[in-house]
Amino acid sequence: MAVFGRRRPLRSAALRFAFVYALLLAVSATALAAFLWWATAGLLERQTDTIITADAEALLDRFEQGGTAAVILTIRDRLEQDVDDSSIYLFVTPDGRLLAGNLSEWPTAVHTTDRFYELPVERAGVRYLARVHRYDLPGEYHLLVGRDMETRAQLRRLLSNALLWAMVVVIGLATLGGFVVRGLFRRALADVSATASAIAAGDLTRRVRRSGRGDEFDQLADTINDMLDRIARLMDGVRQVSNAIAHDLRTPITRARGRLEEAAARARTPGEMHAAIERAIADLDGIIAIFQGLLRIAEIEAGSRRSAFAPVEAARLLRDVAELYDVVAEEKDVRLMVSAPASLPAYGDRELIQQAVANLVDNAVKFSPAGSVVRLSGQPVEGGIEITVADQGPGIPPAERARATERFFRGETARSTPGSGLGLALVQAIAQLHGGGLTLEDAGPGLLVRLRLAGQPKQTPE
Amino acid sequence: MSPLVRTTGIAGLTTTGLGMLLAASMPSVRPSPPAVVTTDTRAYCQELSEKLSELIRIAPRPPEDEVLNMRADGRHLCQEGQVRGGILRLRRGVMVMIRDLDQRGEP
Repeated sequence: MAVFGRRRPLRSAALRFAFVYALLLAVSATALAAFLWWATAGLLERQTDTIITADAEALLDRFEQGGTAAVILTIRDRLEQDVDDSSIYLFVTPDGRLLAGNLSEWPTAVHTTDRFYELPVERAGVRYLARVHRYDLPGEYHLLVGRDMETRAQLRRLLSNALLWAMVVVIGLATLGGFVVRGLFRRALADVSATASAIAAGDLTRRVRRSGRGDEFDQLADTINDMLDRIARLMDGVRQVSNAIAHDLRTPITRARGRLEEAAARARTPGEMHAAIERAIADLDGIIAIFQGLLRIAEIEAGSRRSAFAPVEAARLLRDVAELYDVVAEEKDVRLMVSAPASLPAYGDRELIQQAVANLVDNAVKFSPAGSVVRLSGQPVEGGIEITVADQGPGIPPAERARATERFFRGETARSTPGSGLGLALVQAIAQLHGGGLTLEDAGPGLLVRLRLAGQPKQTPE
Repeated sequence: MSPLVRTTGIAGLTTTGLGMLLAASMPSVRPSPPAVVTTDTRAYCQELSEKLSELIRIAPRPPEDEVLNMRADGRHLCQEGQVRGGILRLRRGVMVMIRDLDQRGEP
């Protein structure tokens, strides 16, 4: 039995599923962490930026109203009332001289006015992180406004630690979940693999077990089991045909051999030898005819003749067949009656349709008693035409009708009649090639055969 | 490569990605010497104390005991080396006095 992943573990589909699971979990966790970060530390940062901007705008207004003195006074007032102890101001002259503020010097890193800067500041000997923005005032005065980011830094440390641990947990869960998914996948497909292996080993009776949950794996099991049933039926058919060929050909071959052997041993004149050889040739011709019939059925079933389909006038075809068998019917004192509309358009291979009808009429005449009637008729039906052949012979018992179209099947009533048992099988193959079907019914008395042929398919506009 | 190694590798890569994301969301700090904040010094503590005393002096009415206590606490803390704590109390005292002055200045 094949075992998943044993030979080439890196190409295991189960492993790919596990990998996809782990990847999805990791990506989801990353996305969640990113959102968490954006919604907390990011929010604090955005709020700080808003406060700095509003503070700076107020100072710029004061500069416009009262010049440098107003700005200096305002900065001093704000620092004196800064109970949060987080504000940072620096107001300098064009040559860098300090006018007001609480920074010892202008930070060298802050040289443009188009962005916020984060830089370290030292408060009472302790280093903190601050977020600042530079503003240039008329007269080439420079203003720096900022806030300590200690709260955000604490939150960032907290979040970083939490996310780091969360990642450790996610890695553990992803690994564990990956193995669980891999195990589930392998378990779900193990029975399919075991069944396929058993069938490959020759046990055609094995089927995939259903879990009963009706999920995708159950649907797969149903499909595989249906496929296996069909394969089994086809195998039975092949076996049956093989047996039938062996059985049906053994008799004429044995007979031909016996005749040739008898002629070799007992023929006293060239004439007797010649006659024996002639009879053996006739037997062998019969065998060749059977093979030709089998090959023809196989050819028809392969569908290769569908390309030769063309419109066929079935009414005329029925009359031609009736005319062909008229003499044979007369010899058996059987009346062959034809009824068909003046025109009965069909679509298919004329030669094959004619052969199918001829086979049916031949059977009907062959099994009809003297003085009876064989009715051959054709009529249009929905989606095509139907050709019926009804006789007043012994018919086919209901139990044998289903098998009557199998190759080499000979019913009880046909045992004493010459034939190969391929006639109805050929008609069935022709009917299926033409998208139709063959049904056998009781004509009370006799047999009623319905041959349905599909009409010409409608042209679809391009 | 075993499944365990492979899965762990993927998860590790993802963690690295998250780390890079976090690093990207943290603006880089330039390695420049920190600027010193001058409002956390004893000198500024003294300056604030004098400012509060001046506000008390010019006030039309004697200040509340709360303000006097904050001034005393602030001075004491600054002398004891708790400069930030002392400055915090003095700032609160300044805020209270300025609020009182503003309220009395209203018509």
